Amino acid sequence: MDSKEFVETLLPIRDKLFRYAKRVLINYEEAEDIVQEVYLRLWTNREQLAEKKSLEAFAMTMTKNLCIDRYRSKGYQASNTGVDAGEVSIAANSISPQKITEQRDAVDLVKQIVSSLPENMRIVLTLRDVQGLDYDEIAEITGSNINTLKVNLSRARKRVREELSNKYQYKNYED
Amino acid sequence: MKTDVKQIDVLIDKFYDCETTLEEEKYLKQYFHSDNVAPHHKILVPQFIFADNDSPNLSNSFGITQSEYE
Repeated sequence: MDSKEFVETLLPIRDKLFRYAKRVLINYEEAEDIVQEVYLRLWTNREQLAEKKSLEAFAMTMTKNLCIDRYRSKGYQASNTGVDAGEVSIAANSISPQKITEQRDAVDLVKQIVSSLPENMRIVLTLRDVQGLDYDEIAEITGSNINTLKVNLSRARKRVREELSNKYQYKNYED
Repeated sequence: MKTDVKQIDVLIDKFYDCETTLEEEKYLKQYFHSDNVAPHHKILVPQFIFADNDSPNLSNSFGITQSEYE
């Protein structure tokens, strides 16, 4: 495939790829980053591209895989919700500054717990409880079936609850 | 937000067994954001509010720098 063909065939689907990445990662810059990577890889392999029956599907699969890689990267953690714990507290009516601090600590604690979960649990919990995706979408993104997803998610949610209550009992003894 | 604690108890159990719908999960989040959280639910508040996505911002809050990918 030459550069003219490349542009004509692949540029029209850029928006579609971007929308997908943006939806999964909920971050404009991250999504942009992924799409650029996809195009870089496509361009690098343009010699072989002519053989691909459906380039759009191929590019979409590549985008999905890169999004999953990003989820798995050590840096991608539950703290990526883009919401500051302080904002959450303030949104909930008038509460004392002390209570805001406590709530923020607790929210940070949950983020820590989530980021320490095994990968399969962390990914599904992030996609469901942070990004709010439905199970079909999560299945599509991760390539796991829905039953497996639910088993992992249930374990993840219970683990968070368990660790939260352990930490808090412990904390109360300390105080 | 007027709430029926027994109904919330049921929903919370369903949540941990992954039997809640997205709508029900949204409802639970609203409950945990409200001032009417029952005393025996307080410990769960952080789990339900930590990911509040009402204002997903587009800033670089990922904690990952570009260079880690290069």
